[in-house]
Amino acid sequence: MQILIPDLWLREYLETNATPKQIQHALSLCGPSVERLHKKGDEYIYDIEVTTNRVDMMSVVGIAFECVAILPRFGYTAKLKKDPYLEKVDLSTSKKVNYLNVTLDKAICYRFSTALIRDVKVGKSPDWLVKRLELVGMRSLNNVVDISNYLMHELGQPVHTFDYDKIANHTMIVRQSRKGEKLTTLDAKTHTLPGGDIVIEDGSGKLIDLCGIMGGLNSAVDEHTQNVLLFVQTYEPTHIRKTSMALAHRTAAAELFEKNLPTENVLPTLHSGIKLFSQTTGGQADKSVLDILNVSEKVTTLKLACPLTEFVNSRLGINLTFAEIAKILKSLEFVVQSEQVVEIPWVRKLDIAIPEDLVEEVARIYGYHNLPTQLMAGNLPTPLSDTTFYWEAKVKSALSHWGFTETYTYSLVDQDSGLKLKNPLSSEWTYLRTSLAPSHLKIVSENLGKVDELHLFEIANVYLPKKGNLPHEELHLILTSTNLDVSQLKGYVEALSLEMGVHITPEIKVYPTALICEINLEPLIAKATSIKTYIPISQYPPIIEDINVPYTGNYAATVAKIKKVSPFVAKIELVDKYENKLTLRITYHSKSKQLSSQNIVPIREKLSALA
Amino acid sequence: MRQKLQNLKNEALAQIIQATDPAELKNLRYHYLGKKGALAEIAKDLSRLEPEAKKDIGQLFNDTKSAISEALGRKLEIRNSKLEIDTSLPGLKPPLGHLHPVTHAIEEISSIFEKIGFVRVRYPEADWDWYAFEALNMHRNHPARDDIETFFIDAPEDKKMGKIVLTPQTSNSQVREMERVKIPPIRMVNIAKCYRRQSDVSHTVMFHQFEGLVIDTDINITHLKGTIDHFVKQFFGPKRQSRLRPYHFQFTEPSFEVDVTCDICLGKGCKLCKEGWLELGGAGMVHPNVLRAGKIDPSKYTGFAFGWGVERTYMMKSGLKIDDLRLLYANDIRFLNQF
Repeated sequence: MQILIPDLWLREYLETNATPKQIQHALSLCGPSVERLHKKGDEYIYDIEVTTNRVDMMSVVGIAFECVAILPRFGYTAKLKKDPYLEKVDLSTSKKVNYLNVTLDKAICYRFSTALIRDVKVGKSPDWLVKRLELVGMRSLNNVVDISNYLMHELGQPVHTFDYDKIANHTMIVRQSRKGEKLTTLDAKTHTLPGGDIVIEDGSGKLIDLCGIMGGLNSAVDEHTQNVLLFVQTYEPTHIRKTSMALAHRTAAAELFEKNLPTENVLPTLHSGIKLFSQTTGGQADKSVLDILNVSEKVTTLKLACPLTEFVNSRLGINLTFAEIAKILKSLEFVVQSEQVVEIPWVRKLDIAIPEDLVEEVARIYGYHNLPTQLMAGNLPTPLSDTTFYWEAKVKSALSHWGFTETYTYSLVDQDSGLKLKNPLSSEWTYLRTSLAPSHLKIVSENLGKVDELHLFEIANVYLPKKGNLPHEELHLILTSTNLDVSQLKGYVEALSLEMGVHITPEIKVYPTALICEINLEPLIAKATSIKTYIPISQYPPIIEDINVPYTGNYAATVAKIKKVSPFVAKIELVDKYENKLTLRITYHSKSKQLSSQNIVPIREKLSALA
Repeated sequence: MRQKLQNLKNEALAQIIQATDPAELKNLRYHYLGKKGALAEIAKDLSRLEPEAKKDIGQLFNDTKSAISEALGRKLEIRNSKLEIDTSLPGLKPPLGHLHPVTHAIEEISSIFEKIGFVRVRYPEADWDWYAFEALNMHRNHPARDDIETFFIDAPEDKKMGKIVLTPQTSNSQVREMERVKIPPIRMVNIAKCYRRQSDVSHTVMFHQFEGLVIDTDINITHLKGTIDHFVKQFFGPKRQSRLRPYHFQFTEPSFEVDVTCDICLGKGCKLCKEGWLELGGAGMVHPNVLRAGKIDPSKYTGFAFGWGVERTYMMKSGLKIDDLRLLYANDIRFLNQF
């Protein structure tokens, strides 16, 4: 979540000698990240990223509290000028008021509070209010709407205002919606509700509020409004979230409510609101404020099995004393009762749940930058016997040195017999491929004419569907060449088989623009070996000669036939092919004796007999 | 006679191939082709043959003679050309292939971690929801899941494991590695393809991440700092520095964002960076719930983890200057041939 905090607004709560730049630096290292420090005229504005677990920092006051804990660690003075939570709240609250009949589903509304403000003069906001809203990127509308926005930004608690006189029979029924009910929100959008959304129905049966997300248009404050219902609640968060996501209606209020807001913030916000109404609209609140609390506000404590000091130090790798740890936690409003019991401030009770959470608080305020840096000692893990990575690197290196260029293509393709995505981003990426070849054909067509010849390769998984299970991820190698001489491409595969010490039977597919050979590497890697067995170099030199033999189109058979002629035939290489004749270079060799011409004579005779 | 010629040829060719200096070649020429050489001797006998045989053997004689003289000529030619070398002319390069920048990055990253005892592993890229989310302390309705735009496979859900997802991050390897190793120590690095529903200048639907996981007795934040610092210095160079900032992830507690100093200003702040630092990615101490999901006792063992984008990390190396990540997967040969 992002929030803009103007420096002048922050300093209404915070007294410090730190400059905006210094505050930015310190906060970023120990608290929320101040991504940018903007300047608008003479005013500095902090652009802050707040993580989802720290919804308490989505406000000016929340950031001020953080500054009080963090700035002194950097040698700056910092204290709160005023604490909105300690101000004496002179509200008389009651579970029943005579100006509003409320029926409430307790499971979905944790706290329901409202004040009736009479004789409101809707009009322009005072300059200071307009300016503050402008600094945080909000346009001033009228004093009533501006107050709601101001309160949410200052205290992190969303607020709504109803035109009291538009609520039929001054009756509210807070309930879950039925599927298909319709409601038009303030932005004039009409929603058909999915059902189970938190809504308010008035005495005439019409829906007047999409709770926690946006108010209804039919009960909105306008220029004729005289009496306002200032409305501050907290709701069960998953309902808010579900509705907001289902309707794709993401408002600032929804983003806060769905993270679960503390009920303790409700009355201080209502109190500030009543004061603001009186200041800026002349409206006066009814002496009796309606406040229904449906959850417990008991102080939460965290009990530790391992003593706090020992636990924190074991995670930080340093030796802090109990007093140092307690001091840091106190600066964040925690009360450390003992090594075993820590009291959690209500602003943090929804985020601090386990001892590791306390470690984080101590560590960040102490400063990650102040912790030492070391590599771990201890035993090394047992290495894997899997050689896939070794062979993958070896094959890539060989191919690149033989002139092949490596590609990386998306595993997602537009057409395939493989698994389909449920939520593709575009039709181009809809299926998980079961073959690499279509991707390479595409690259070939896109690159034709850019260079004389393409020699491409890629090693990647293909995803073969398996019923009721994860797909089998099979590592494939693909070789693609726009040189249409099959023997060349085959030669590379044969060279690879020598590198890997395995036999590969390549299947070369011929396309109009390219030759493609796709190989499943899995069985090859399982058998591949870099161990070579040394064959002692013979002291007897071989005899080599070229012969011509007739050829019928089966090279392997021809070679086998020649080998069968004599054990002295050690090697047969193809020199040339001309029409239906092959020129072969035969190496005669014996490990045990020097072959003489006499030994070769009978073999040569047999070979000519083959012809 | 036929045999004699055949043997003479074999013998001569073998000797020529093995000859190493010009004097030797001269001797061979004299020996075989000279006026009193071996072939001249045979020629004397030729005239005594029957006309029929004369024609046949004569042919073989000529073949033998030309094969020997050709072989000698070739060998001498090689030697002579060596004497008239012009080194100012450009060389003839062998065909040059190219490895993809992602491969360069992966090889560099894995070798840095392997040197400090990390084991490289490989886990599914299409995995169960359980490993990708649930076991990582991210329950079905958790808002944290929204930030991660995940692709789902159109296949029936497994009762225990949930849906099949294309892993949006490499963290599914964490609990899988705990299950494999069972009893720590664990030092793992998993580099794999990840997928997210995003495509723009800085996002591609498919990308790569590398995930580090260390679990042992007495692992603390200083070890995480040490490991990250080691990586940053090795990968980016000794002048670059790293820092941790507080952050939040569901599967780590505490959680950090890791920054590296900008390669242009080295941390002072300049036009190209955010206040002198560039974001590398997330890290943290493994959440006890994640250890429990991997059947490891969090009261006995602690650990840390980090997971960063391979492409992003590689882009942050100095001098690379790739302004659109999608170029990496467009496979334009004029792009690929630059690496």
